[in-house]
Amino acid sequence: MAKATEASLDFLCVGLNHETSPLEIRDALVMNEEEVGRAIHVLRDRAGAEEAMILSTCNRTEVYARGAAVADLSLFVNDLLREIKGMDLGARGHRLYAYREPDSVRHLFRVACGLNSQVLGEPQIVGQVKDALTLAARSGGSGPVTERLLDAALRCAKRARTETGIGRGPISSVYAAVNLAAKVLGHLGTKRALVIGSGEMAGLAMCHLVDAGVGQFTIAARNRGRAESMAAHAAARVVSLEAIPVVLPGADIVVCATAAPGFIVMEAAVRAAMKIRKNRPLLLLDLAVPRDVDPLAARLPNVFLHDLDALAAIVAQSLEQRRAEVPKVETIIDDEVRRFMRWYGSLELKPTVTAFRGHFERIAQEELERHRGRFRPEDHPALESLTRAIVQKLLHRPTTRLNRAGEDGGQGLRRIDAVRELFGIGREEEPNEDRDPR
Amino acid sequence: MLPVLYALSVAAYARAYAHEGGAGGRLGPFALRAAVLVHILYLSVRGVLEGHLPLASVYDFLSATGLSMAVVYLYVEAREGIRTTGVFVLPFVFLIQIVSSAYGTQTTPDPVPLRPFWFELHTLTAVLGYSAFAVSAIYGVLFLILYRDIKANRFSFFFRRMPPLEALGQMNIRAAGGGLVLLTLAIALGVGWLQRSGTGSLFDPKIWLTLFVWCIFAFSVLAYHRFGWRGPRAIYMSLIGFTTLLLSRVAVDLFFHSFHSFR
Repeated sequence: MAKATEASLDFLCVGLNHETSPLEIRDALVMNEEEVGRAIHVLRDRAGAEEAMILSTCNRTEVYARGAAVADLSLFVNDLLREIKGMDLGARGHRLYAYREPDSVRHLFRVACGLNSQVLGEPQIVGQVKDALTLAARSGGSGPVTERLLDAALRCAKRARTETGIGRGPISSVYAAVNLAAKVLGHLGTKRALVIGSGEMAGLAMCHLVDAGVGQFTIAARNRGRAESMAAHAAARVVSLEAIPVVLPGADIVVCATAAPGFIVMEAAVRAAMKIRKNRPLLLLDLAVPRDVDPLAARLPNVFLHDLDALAAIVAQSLEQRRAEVPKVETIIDDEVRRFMRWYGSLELKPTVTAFRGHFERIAQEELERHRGRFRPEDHPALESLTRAIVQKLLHRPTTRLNRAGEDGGQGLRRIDAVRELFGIGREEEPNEDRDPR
Repeated sequence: MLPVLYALSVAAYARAYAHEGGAGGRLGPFALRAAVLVHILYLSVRGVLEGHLPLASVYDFLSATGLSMAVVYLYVEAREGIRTTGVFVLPFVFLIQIVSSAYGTQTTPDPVPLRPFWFELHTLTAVLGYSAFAVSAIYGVLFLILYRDIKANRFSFFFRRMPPLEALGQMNIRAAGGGLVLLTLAIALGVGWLQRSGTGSLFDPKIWLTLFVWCIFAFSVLAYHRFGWRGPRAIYMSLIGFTTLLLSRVAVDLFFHSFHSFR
């Protein structure tokens, strides 16, 4: 029998994020697709990593690797970043964090759940984690462990979102404004919006309103060219700032985000608009500093005026609520880490081979005992010997192949996983499906 | 038993309300449906045993009002798909049922024996109509609280748990509209019965006050649909209607002699 050679199951994470590094360093280390591919090749070729994945966003650059045969992966990653991004973190006295499993697994799960994000519970990170795996797969860095790990991380993130309030409530002023619009006006599908301004904030607000279902837009702006390019995204009508009193009565939501030094929307215009609107509710969202809407307009019945201070209060409240949900998310992460580590531990070769053989020998023994009564006592030794020989012969080839799994890297691990799955190894608590009901 | 069942419903709705992020839970609607079913069974058995609808005393009337408020609430909840307002409506149902169970007798002789079926229908539609107005008033008050909170930039727990302001306004007006239809039926059936039986007068103060209440609600519904009234003005109108309804019932029973009052 060939000697079992274990595939390395060391799973490490080395990196830096917004908690450990300033923006200038994080910015300088963001990798594009090509750089990620190069880094994965270096990790595989020079560090001997069997699987590698890189998560590189504006808030973090993290290297995940299995089976790297280097004494100090942090040092290796430091050299790797110097080679690919031209930045020597060591020379700057900057340290990378490093985790070994199960902490590396826990770290990835925390990242996927948004606990490690600058804005607690933000959802974009889930997509970034998915993209990291896609890139790893394209560069030949993914394998059975990273694939399974990513599945587990995404499941963990999904559970955190559905079972806790970590993703609840708006976390940006613009999103808070859209939430507020839905709270006042209900279903936004039939509502009309007037966006005053053509800057970044106005564009962002318009995008969020489009996402929330608002279908009719009018843009009032000084810069007609920019307003028209904004209007192209939502088939909006563009008017000048002077036309505001004319278009105001037709709007249910007004978003103001200009850089004007004074008020753009006066109380008298709102009052006149409300008369034409027969007092139907009007939501004025003033995202400008200094403010665009005359605060006196807030006194009119059915006019809801909210400025950035009010929206910031909603955002602060949401963040506070999210912070209160962190312990619940940590419990889910603990649960998922335990689950993943159980599977990960099962990939060890020797226990699998032993369990695999034991599985067949146990079945043979059980059948032997069941039918022992049909044979004469003097035949029992021969019967046992015969059964053992059949089992040995049946298992010889699969055992030999399984023992070689350790030398086959990722393929080997897949083979081990498949054997455990096929024969229910490590699932003793489940009902034994192998037994013949007869 | 009925107060206990309603208390359980209130507790379930309160728990769902307190659980932020949940849509309102399933236990509350389940408990409330069970309570309503038992209540209907109880009143039906009593109706069969006594030979008339159990609406002869003020306590019977209260019990039927509690039941129909619960039914109206369940209808609005099913229609709007909003469960977070139950905690504000059902305590009234519970209180009404407590009073009815504590002071009401099990059987009450019918003061008007041999009443025709459509007179019973008159009473039933009136009870349902009043209950719809009560539910409408509760939604009206919720609307006003939320309206003031939003205007004042107070984004409290109440703000987060309430449905959109517009939905509350619609729930208020729909319940009022339903109540108006039922009250119209009740008035028509009552007047018809009066004409045939000759047992009372059309110049009864209760009839005139009820017609006055009907006018207020009719204007409220008309103003919403026809004149586009929205917001506090429309809500105040329906609240004035409900307050007038309550005061008129008390006034009729205390200060006027009516053939039609509960004693």
